[in-house]
Amino acid sequence: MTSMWPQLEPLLAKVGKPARYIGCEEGAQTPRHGADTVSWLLIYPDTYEIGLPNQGLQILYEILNERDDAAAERSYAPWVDLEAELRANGLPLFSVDTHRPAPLFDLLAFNLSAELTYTNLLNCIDLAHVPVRAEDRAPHHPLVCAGGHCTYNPEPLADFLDFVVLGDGEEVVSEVTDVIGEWKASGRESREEVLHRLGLIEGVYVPSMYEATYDGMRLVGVTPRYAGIPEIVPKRTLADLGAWPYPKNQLVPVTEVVHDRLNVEVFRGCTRSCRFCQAGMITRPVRERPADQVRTMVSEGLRRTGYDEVALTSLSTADMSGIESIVSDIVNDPANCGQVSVSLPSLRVDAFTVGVAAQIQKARRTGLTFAPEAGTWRMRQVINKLIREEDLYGAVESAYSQGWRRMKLYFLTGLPTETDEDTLGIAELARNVVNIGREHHKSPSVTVSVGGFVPKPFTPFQWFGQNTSVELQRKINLLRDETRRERGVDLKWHDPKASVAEGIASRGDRRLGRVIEEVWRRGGTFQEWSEFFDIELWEQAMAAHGLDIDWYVYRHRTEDEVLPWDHLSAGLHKDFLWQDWRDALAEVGLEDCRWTPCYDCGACTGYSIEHIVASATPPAGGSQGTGVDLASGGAVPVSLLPRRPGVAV
Amino acid sequence: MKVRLRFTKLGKIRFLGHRDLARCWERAIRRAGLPIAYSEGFSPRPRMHYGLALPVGAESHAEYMDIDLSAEIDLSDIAELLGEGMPAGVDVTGVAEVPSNAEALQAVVDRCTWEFELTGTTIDEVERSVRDLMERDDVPLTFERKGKALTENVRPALLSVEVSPELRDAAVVVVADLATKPRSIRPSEFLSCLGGTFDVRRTCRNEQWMTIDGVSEPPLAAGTTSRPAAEQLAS
Repeated sequence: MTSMWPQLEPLLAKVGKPARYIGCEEGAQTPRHGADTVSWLLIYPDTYEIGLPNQGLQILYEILNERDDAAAERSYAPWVDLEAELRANGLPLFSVDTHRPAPLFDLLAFNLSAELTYTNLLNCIDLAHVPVRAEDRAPHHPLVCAGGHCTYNPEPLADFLDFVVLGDGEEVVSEVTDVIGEWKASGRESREEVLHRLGLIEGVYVPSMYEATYDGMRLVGVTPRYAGIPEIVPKRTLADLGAWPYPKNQLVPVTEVVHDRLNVEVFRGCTRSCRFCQAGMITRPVRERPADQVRTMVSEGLRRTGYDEVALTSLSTADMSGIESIVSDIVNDPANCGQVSVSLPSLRVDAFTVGVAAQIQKARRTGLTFAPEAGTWRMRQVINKLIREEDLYGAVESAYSQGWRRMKLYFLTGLPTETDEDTLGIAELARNVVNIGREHHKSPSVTVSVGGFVPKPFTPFQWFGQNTSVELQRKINLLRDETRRERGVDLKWHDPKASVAEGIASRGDRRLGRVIEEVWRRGGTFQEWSEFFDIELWEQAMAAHGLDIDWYVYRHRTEDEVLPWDHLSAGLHKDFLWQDWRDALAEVGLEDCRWTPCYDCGACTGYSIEHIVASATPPAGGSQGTGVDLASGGAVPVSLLPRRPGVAV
Repeated sequence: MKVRLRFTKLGKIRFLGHRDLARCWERAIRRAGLPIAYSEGFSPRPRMHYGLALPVGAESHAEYMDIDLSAEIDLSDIAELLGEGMPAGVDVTGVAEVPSNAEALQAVVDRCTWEFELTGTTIDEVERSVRDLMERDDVPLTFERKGKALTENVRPALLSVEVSPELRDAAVVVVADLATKPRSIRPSEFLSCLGGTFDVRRTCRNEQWMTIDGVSEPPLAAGTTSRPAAEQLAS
């Protein structure tokens, strides 16, 4: 049985949204499988709609299928209705490309982008008819691996993953394929042997090759069991994004998904140095795609896919060198007939950026999203999100005056040193934004979305004790009361209890494996879906295994504490992160090192690589934390504003 | 100019819903570079007009769509161009210009021919059920509209039902002509009226029909690549 389609057909007639499971995307491949090919099942452990657009997965899908000796297909977590049908009929997880059963693949490779999908990962392994615990697997079972941002602390999943890949996957995926291919050719005998060889690849971490030792609750260290296995596993980093113009054939799904548009990654990495942001810390340095390559990928992609929207993606697209001319070229390309809209996710908050957005979003100008992240300038200095109030108001004024009606503002609460004044500053900002809107429209509306802050590994806030869910709820209530009578302000918030579960998984150690397994065994899948999330499952599982949420989530760490991810490296020096943490508490900002001298965080120096930026002067727009008007761009900001008025840094 | 397309929906793509299929068409039309006309207003949409929606999971040999183009074009390569941009199973099997005032597909179609493959039953059993059903004058069907249960006689919508004398891959093949006007009956509703127990392996719309001057014909015959009897379609 190499296609399960005949068995699936009658089941799909009984489940919701069956188009999730049929594949049929433009760009989908029908790879050749054989004894001499290494077969990868790339799995996103959430629904098709969430997982399909994932660019990392699509990039690896193409790179692998370009090899004669590899075959890659895709799978996503089946929704609970289909899962029940599969289990009732004894059928396994399958690929959407050729509906090949998951147990026939050599590797099950997961993309881990969110902690709350961890129980789905276990569910998918189980649905693939593979033992969930790595130690129970036999040589004939697929190898189970993971990549993606969450793998920078893979310890809570150490019991379940055969290996983990850190950092950019473009190159390492081929090195892994080579090793597996040789293992298959030599008879595929010992799992330990192939894992040992994988563990020697730079960027590959094999949890079973390491021993975690504890002194009571305290972690003493995670150290290699064998000579030759690296004590510290470094991440992989591409030196040049321009050498990897992927995906070349972005998948066009037949059914609607999130981010349903052409996506072109314009740069990878970010050095704005927002201290809460794990993505910005772990993906350094900045590597821009050459502008001409961006233009080509956009025009060819639009022609091939038929999409009428393209997103230029990165962690802060307004910072791309020459962004203005890139977007105007796209908008003015006669081949696009004026019907193409360009979106810039993660807008920087300033009027210049809105101007760029206005230039390209000629049609359907409905809403704009900004992320000031905190309500006061003091708080934003702590988190190094260096947006002045004037920048936000300038951006909003510009947006309202150019036809946008709805603003969405993203904030975090539960940040280090946050006072009630900082929290209420969120309401103050929102109120002022509505007032600016009133000068342009009768009833402007501002959606304020507040998330509870969860500290992440390899950030300066990795030592911070997360706010309790009670404290987060209190802050949300403060905001709710403050904005209740505020017409035009619509407050939305994430469930603080979900932040607790995320916090458990985010900075946990190997002892969390039993907890995650128990939550899964008790039915706790799709935990990032509010209708299925259940904090009691997590609390009970923690208690059952003698683990304390206070200790794992709410406790401040000390400088000398061994962290569960200390044997992995995102390039960043731990002492740099510690210094940045102290600076945060002192409300001292940190410049963007693209246009100021290197402060040696380790991301470049450790790898002998550098930023690749077409222009080494900062982009125009706002003050960018300098207090100087940078509306015209080009000037290098020499120093940031002092932390308090009149006080030198 | 207004162009009518006839297309299939066969295989895996039968699980794609009507709205999703419409989005596929929009992309395929842009890819083919057709000069599609856009609606006026704040949020312009391409001017495309769909026929009767096909239930998710059902296949079809006879789906129809009208599109408005902003320029006159040669239609000879259109079927191939559009088909390339559509998922496997959707083939454009007919293209023709229709008068700009042609009546909407949803209004003009008055019956559809459906083919069902039923398993877990026998030809005799199904024949008996069909005979029983068609002999009755009153076939009450209870359905829900706006949260209220309504019961109606759907016998007038059952125009003809035939059972094939031979099995197809162990399934009994039933072909039914079901009216879409004045009251339509869905294929699933028809099967629920049919007595006996069986599993439905396949539901396929074989043809849609409209009546012009007392003559029944499809909105566009398969294989058409030229102008149909344009005068007849004009309202």
